[in-house]
Amino acid sequence: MTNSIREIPVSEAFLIIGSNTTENHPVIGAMIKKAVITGGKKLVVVDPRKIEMAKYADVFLQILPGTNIAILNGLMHVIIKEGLHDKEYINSRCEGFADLEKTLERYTPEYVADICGIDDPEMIRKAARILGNAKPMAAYYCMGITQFKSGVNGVKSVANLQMLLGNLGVAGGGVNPLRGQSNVQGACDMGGLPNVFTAYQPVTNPDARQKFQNAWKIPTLPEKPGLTIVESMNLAIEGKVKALYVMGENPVISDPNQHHVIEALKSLDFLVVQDIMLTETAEYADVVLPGCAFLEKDGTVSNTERRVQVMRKALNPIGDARDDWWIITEIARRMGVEWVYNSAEEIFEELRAVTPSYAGMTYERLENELLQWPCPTIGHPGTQFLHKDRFARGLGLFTAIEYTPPAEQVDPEYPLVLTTGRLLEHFHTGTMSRNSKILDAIVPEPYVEIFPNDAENYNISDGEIVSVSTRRGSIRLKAFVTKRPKPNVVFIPFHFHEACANVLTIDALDPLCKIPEFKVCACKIEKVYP
Amino acid sequence: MAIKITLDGREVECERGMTILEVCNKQGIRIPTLCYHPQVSKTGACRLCIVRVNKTMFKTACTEPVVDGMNVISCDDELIFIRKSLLNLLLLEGDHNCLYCEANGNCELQSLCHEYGIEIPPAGDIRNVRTRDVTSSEGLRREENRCILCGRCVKACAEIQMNRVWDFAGRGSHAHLTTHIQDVLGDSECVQCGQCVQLCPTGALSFQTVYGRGLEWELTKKSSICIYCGVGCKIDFSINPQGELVRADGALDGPNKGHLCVKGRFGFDFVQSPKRLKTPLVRKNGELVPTSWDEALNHVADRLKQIKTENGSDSVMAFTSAKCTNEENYLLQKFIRAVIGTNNIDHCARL
Amino acid sequence: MITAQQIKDVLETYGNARENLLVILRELENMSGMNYLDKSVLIQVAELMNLPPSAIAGFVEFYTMFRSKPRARHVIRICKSTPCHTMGAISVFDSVKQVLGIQEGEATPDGLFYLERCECLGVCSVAPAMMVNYDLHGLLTHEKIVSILSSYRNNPVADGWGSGEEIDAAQTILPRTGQTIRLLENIGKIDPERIEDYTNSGGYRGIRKALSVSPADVVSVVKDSGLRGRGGAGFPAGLKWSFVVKGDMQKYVICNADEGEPGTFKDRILMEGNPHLLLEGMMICGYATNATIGYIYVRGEYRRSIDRLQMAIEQARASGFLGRRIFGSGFDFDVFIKEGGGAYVCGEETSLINSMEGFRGYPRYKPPFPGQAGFNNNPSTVNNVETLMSVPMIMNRGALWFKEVGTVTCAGTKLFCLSGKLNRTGLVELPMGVTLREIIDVHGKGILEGKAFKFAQIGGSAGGIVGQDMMDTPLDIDTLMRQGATLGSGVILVCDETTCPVDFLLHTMSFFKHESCGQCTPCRIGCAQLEKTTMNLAKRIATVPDLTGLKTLATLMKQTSLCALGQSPIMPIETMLKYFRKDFENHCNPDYKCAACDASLSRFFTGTH
Ligand SMILES: Cc1cc2nc3c(=O)[nH]c(=O)nc-3n(C[C@H](O)[C@H](O)[C@H](O)COP(=O)(O)O)c2cc1C
Repeated sequence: MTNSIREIPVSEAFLIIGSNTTENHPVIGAMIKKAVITGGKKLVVVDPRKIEMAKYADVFLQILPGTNIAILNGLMHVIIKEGLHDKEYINSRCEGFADLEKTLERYTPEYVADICGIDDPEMIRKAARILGNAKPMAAYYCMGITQFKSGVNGVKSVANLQMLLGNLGVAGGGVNPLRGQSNVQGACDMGGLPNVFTAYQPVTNPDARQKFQNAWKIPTLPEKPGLTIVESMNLAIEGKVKALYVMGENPVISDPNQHHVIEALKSLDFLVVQDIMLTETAEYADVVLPGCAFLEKDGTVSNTERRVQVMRKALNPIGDARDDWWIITEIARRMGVEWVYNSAEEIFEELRAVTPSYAGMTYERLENELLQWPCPTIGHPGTQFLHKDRFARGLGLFTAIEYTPPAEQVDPEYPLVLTTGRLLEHFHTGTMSRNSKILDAIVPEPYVEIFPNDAENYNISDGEIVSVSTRRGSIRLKAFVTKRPKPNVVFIPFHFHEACANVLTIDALDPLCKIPEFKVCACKIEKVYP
Repeated sequence: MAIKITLDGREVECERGMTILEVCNKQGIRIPTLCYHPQVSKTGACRLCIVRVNKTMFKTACTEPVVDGMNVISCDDELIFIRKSLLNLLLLEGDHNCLYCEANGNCELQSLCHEYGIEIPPAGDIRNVRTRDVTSSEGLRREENRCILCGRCVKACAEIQMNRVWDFAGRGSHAHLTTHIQDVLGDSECVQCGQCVQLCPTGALSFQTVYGRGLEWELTKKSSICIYCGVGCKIDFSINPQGELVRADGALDGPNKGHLCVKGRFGFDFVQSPKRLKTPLVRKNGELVPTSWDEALNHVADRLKQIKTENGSDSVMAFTSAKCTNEENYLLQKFIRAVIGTNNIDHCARL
Repeated sequence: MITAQQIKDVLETYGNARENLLVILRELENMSGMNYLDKSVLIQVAELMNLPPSAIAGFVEFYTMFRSKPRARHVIRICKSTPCHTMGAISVFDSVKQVLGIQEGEATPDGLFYLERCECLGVCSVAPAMMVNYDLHGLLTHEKIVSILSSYRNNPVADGWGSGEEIDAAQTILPRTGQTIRLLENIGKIDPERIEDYTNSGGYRGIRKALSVSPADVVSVVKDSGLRGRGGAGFPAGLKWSFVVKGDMQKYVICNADEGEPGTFKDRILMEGNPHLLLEGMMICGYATNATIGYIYVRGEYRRSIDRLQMAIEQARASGFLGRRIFGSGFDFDVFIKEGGGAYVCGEETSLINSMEGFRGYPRYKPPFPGQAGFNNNPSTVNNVETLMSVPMIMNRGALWFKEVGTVTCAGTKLFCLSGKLNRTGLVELPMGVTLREIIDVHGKGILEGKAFKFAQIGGSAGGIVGQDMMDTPLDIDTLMRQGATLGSGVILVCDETTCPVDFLLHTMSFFKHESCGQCTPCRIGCAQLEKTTMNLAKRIATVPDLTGLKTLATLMKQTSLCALGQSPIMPIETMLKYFRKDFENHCNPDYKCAACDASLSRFFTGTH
């Protein structure tokens, strides 16, 4: 997030797009609800499903999955046509406006409504006016923007909108991705990506490499960016990736196109899985290493608002489980390097020395202060919101983006749109939530949401077992007849290994950041005759 | 703007707009409260915080704003009598037997009765039997006979979780809580965030996880950060002598400001699940079998070394984790880059 | 069964904002044909109004008019408040039960009648009384009950206009000789349903006069007149108006017409007999306090008042007296009606505001006072009907004229509601400071059947008991307050030698227990405990120390209750014990015989109510 959770009361309006906030980030969801319900702030919700937030929205735009860019362009079209954009801000802080304006020209509400499956184009105008007239306005989004082959462009479009309205670099504004997992932010900050070291220092930059070579006391570091998860799976099948080390991940459930993933894992020469349970992925491993669960260890995590917090050990590790850092250190030592770490804090001291945005943080400070990166020096108070006064690159760059349809379109054979997502009570692959008694009791089994008319068309009644198929596979699960999805769209939560939604999803990737298109593909739904 | 009031004979400065209670809190003067909770709006219903204002008036400290020149007495014999009488009325109304109450030791009513020296419970039979609903909800228990109608649950739901599941129904001595039209909690729109329980001052609302799992004074408190979504809620855990997690409360100093969702509240059994891996496993003859750390680690190191040598560094890939700490992520990427010599590291940021 | 479409239509008619919840539910309950709100209906309403189901459930359970279980086509509510009880409510219960063959809380097998008890219906001069749906009937005897009930067998409508003649406003006013007629002037003389009648008799002149001076001047005149609130607390009206915060925000005038104090019926007579006078008073108050919207919160039982006021509002709008730029001035003003649902506490001004907003009638803590943050948190002036109706004549004739009658600190006349064991009961208008002796002897024509006076309850259930010794005490706000009593809303309920003070107090305490909202600790639990102890006295199982216990508890409630309801029981208890301690002590003897207590116990206090 460019901005902070505690700024929610400061925002005059919210755009929530592609985020089922009350289910996936319930605490932030409740704060936004409060701002809207009791604070009288304005809310525009854009989502393919009639999520809870839609109930409180001043305008709810129920779009077809995969049409985010079209709707964002449509909103910007109206904002510019009606002169609601912040000309002063655009002139002084941004560049590329002319291109954007030209591209937006054809995204009239009528044109966009047609793409997005919105009946009344006026709704788009109304939403644009709400967003354009309230300042500051904060945009919140989640996987509903990113999990498309056009995911990066979706993010850029949100940034376009916020720059257009002068909402970047101000308290209560911002482009605010809600991170789905407790430390995605930290995993990225720490260089858990194929192209960057910590704090996004590119591996292709010789100075950066030199810096890490010095710090790590080694002669060279590879300069070629590495593989992404989906790419590595393809290369495993081709026999080019031989060994895989998986720490705390469960790609069999979480990655698209499950059959393909399993094939890849089976093709490997050597698979190590380091986890707290014998996950579906660990079943294919050559070695399984038991790590500590989060309550059993010390360490820091970075939340969605860039706030770094210290976790302290609360429980003794179960059995012979060990700290993940100890395991990695031990393997490294056995491979011939002299690594010595006695605590998580020691590692933190090392990492902050090479990570400019974390440089000013220490465990002591973190336990006593609210610190958000960048926090470059010990005296620095941290950064509540980014891009104050100037953007990292100087001027904010508008990127003119055209809408492109999803990779897979519906056809007579697969006539419905499938979209996937999460539930309030469950999390990701279910390793944690489905092993928690109460959560599992609340939602014990998978289901597919289907609109009443569609259910009728396919002769399906509420609660009956149906089969959902795509070109990649087929699963069986219960039907839940509800008005939450749009007609012709079905929704499946992906937490359940027994009816794994990712058997169905497509592994089309965003060309830039390689995110898979989980959120949309074509499917069919059939009655199961016993 | 600063004004002056006389508090227990002492002149103190305070801000206009503050309540007497806020001034007392700032001055370190303890005022008994039950319906008041800093996380929700004021009610003024329990009347326990009554103080003496300008000699003759009784005002609730939680609602009364200070005015210049006000004279406040926070406690005197008559106030003690009043507070004691009010506590006695509450005891008369409900079924407050600490012996079998899971809030024993963590009950504001109990503490106040103790503080005000209530020894023998008052006699009388004006009690109305209220709802006991301890099974309909997977996570929450409701024993309304212990309810003092402070309304903190109603406000927790309406002002923090913004769900408005709880409300008052009935009237007068028949007033009680309700969740849905004549239905039990389990049939309501409750999302089991548990905020109402966290704010309940008595044992009227409690967690299923608490029941029978240890007495308050046996529990140790430890804080951590929630492992689920990216909000990073700070949680205060209560752990019993057997080392089991018994209860999770939202911490006020986290980004969550005291709030939690159903996952943060109830999502931690997995840590102590019997399915947890307890030893390293190595595949032998197609089967994963337990082994020692030494053997497992040596095996991993040997195989990685071998594959690196035979097929090059780029034939090794690592998936790091969005559920692991910064330190662990840092170390794995360092391992892959510095020890294996490839940039093949990624995680499920996009998934 | 009510259909989804019907529910939608009702919401359409009244608007689906929360503040309309009460009328919406009342309409739906009427439409049900069985006088109840089905759970499925409530769930649909919740969904359509975007309200949580729990809020609807809590709302329905707060207002006694509503039930969520089927009742019958006609709901018979028999008043058991002190005035009706004094006049024989027990025999009304007995008769109805006998005629219909049902018990309380039961319906006749044909689904025609359902029987329940209620608190004061506001027709106390014709006690004992009952209400059949919305029709009020007084002066009930066995024969009358038989004939009333049989008339309903063929007549499904009972909307208030089928009330007995004895309910009529003009008839309720006692012969005017000896009275100082000001407020009652036009009642019975003009047709309340014709605005011309009102204007021809000098109506809407006060507002014109007010509009010709500044709002501040109006406030000064009202201040100078010494007019004090007639709703019970006696707060100076002009002063209250001057406290309304200034600023651009919307402000409101709220007329408190909830009239729930047992023994009070004056506001009903005023509203039914001269509704335009109230509108005019509200206009003046609105002009003075810079408010452009007025609400009249009328208790739901007063159908005829509501209809007459609605008619008056429509006529005034049509004549341009309400709306934009009224009387050619720059002042906009309009009036709307809000209804109550059967809750005494909603007469408390902050509960009333919560109720108007569509919430349970829980009082709010003060400050902030309504003049700072009232309806929708905007500044609101709350005044009683009688108070507001006194304003036009003050504007017309001046503050000095108003002060010509009354006492030094309590100017003007006061309406007194006479009920109980008098030869003549009804409404009288007399100067402040009149004596009880004059009221009883001159206007009440003495005690019924020549019996001896025992005590009078002045000011209603929240008021005190006055004995023989206070026959010549001037009845005004301050004198009574000094004597530990209150003028309240002007109730004069007279009891004769046959009345048992314990039984009387039991009914008073059961009233409080029934009407306590349940929000604050002392009142919720205290009222139940007071009733319990008093009942023990009636059962003759209490002990003498319990008498002290009553006082101690009621004193605690006086000191600590959130609103004046819980602060009230001390006055009846203390004054009762002052005069009749001996009777109370007698009741502490298990062998003491008391037919009155026995009768009440066996009729009213058998189960758990
Ligand atoms: C329990 C309770 C019931 C009340 N009922 C009424 C009522 O029915 N009518 C009324 O005018 N005032 C009633 N009041 C008094 C009001 O709170 C308020 O003082 C009054 O409306 C102010 O108007 P006034 O100043 O014109 O008297 C009641 C007060 C309490 C505490």
